[in-house]
Amino acid sequence: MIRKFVIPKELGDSIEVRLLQWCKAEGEMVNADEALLEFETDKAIVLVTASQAGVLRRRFFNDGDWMKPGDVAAWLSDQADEALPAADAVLDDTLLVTFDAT
Amino acid sequence: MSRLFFREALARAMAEEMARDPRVILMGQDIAEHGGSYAETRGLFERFGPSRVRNTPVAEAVTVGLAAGAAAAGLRPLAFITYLDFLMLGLDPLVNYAAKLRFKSAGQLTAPMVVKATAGAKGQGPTHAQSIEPWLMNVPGLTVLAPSTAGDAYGLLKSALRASGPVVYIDHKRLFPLGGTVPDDEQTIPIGSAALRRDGRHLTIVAHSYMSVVALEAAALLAASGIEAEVVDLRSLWPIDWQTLADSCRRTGHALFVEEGQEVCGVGAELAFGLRERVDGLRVARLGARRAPVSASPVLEAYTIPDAPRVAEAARRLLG
Amino acid sequence: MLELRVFEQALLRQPKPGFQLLSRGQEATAVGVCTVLAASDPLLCSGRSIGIALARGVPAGGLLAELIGKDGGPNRGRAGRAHVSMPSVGLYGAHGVVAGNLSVAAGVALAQQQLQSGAVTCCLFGDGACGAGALHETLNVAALWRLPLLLACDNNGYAVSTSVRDGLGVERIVDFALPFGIPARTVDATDVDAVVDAVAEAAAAIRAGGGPRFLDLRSVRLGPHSTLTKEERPAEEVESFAQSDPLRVYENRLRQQGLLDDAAWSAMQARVQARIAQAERFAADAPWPDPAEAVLDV
Repeated sequence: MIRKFVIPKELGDSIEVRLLQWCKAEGEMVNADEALLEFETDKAIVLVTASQAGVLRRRFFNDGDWMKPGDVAAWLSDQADEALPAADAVLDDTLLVTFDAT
Repeated sequence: MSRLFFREALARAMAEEMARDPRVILMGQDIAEHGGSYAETRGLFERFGPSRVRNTPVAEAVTVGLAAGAAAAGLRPLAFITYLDFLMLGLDPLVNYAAKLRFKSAGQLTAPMVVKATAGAKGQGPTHAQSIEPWLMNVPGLTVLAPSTAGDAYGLLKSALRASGPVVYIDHKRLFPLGGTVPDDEQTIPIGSAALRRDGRHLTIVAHSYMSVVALEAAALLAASGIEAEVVDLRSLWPIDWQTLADSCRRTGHALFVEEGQEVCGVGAELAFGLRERVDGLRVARLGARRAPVSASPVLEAYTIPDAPRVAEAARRLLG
Repeated sequence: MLELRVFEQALLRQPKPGFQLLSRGQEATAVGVCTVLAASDPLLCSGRSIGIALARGVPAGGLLAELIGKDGGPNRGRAGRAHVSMPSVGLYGAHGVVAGNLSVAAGVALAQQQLQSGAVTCCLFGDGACGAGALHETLNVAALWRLPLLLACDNNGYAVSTSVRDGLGVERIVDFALPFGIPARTVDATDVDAVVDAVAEAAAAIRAGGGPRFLDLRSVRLGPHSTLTKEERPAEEVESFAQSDPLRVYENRLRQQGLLDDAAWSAMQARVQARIAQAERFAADAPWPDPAEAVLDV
């Protein structure tokens, strides 16, 4: 199962956000309750924590890039060797995450 | 060039000017450790300390008065007013003292101060939503600025902090979520210069602050039906860049003035008269908020404040 | 003080004296404050500014010209009584809005603190300003930030026709300063020595870093509020003020101390009359401003 990590839309009135840093590299395992990445809105710094495990397979943005709520920022898969679809594929399954704003 | 949040552009301008000139001090509610009501002073307290970044009580009248007196006595204060609506409490020291100081002292005293206030309707109700720029444009002795992009926010705030008299610097709640490009090296934008945001030959749309963003959205709607709108962003509400406006209006022959504030005695009223004096045969129209206080209810607010479809419709009506 | 009194008499003799607020009875406040403060101590005041301006060092001729709207004074006729300023002698300015100078004075004091000038900023305001929110906001910030600010109420007991008793809810004006922990004194300001004493004490404390001070300088208003207001106080009351006329109080003291006799008093009056006559000539000769100046320095 391949899941997409989507930049949350429930961020109040944010229109665009800046990726501060990825906490995991491509190929790395992300366990439940581990930090995945940190981004900044115009008001706050948001830490995104995975609620379910997966291997981080593809990161679509780099540190310092700007993203919009609703953008797909990454793909994660249950198994490290699952075949990935083409880069422009639209996935149905979304990674569950929690996020903390400070 | 870097892409920054609107608030970062402001913080950078302030940090640069404070480093450059020890007379620049900041005062306002929640600007010290809290980092500002819009996170726009983050890092400044830590860098410049409590005597240059001062929290004030919730008392806009004395805050503006402090800025006026400190400016008269040789500092360059920047006073923060969280909501433009509350500048009304500070109008006496701003209008009756600061704006008149150079004149009434015959040049012996001046008040080089900046009042930064955030305007605009965004779900917070009738006394947290107003755009009263015309009240300020009307006062001899006041400079009034209103950026619509992060880059302009940066360059205009730097100029404001170097001005020789009182400046009211007005930004907008809806500009803060936006990012924008800011030059990497220090640059100022001159006071009194408008910016051409979009070329177009059929009509000129003149706007400022968040309505410049809306005007560009309207221009995209109009372009889809073959109408090319030129969009001019005022940036400086007083002094007005009549030359840039008139040049555009001579090319297009039609001018639509868009503002978020009231139409009655609004920015558009001043522009319409001034441009008809300068451009023969210019056809003009204005669009502002409907004549009512702005409710916090999203449905009522949206009905009251101009949006891109309404701007586009007004443009079509103007063109007949 | 005599000069202030004679000056205002000369002002009233002008063909068109204009809308003036006179200082008769309050000369000790002006002279007392200006005796203590240095020229580098910024002084701000209200619209009852004439005595203060003169005591501060604005030349009499220039001041008279300014008051009637002519060029030749510190503000080229643009300010008049309500806004006269001459920072070079330490008069940061009068201001025509009641209580309008209070927060401004706090800002001037803030600048002195920031620039570490050691100066005392003094704001003179009437009892009529004490009901304004501006006073309370200013007291609050002055206390919070320990501003080097002397707030001195030039208290003549009346705001136009409203007595202090009818206009203010406190027993004593110094009570306004108490909640903010600002040391305050009530002073008999019909006695110039008492004013000098109190201002000197307050200024010294402020210069030593003690934060703001508040004085209630109680004097008498010998005439009506302005040249356009009629006297409505009972005649007996106004007559009784003559006893408290600061000129008379000081003259009597100097005579008692053997420092003044009839000859010296006459000589002094003659000198003052001569100086004021010179001021009247200066103002008469001063030009009206060029109309084009109406739009300069905006």
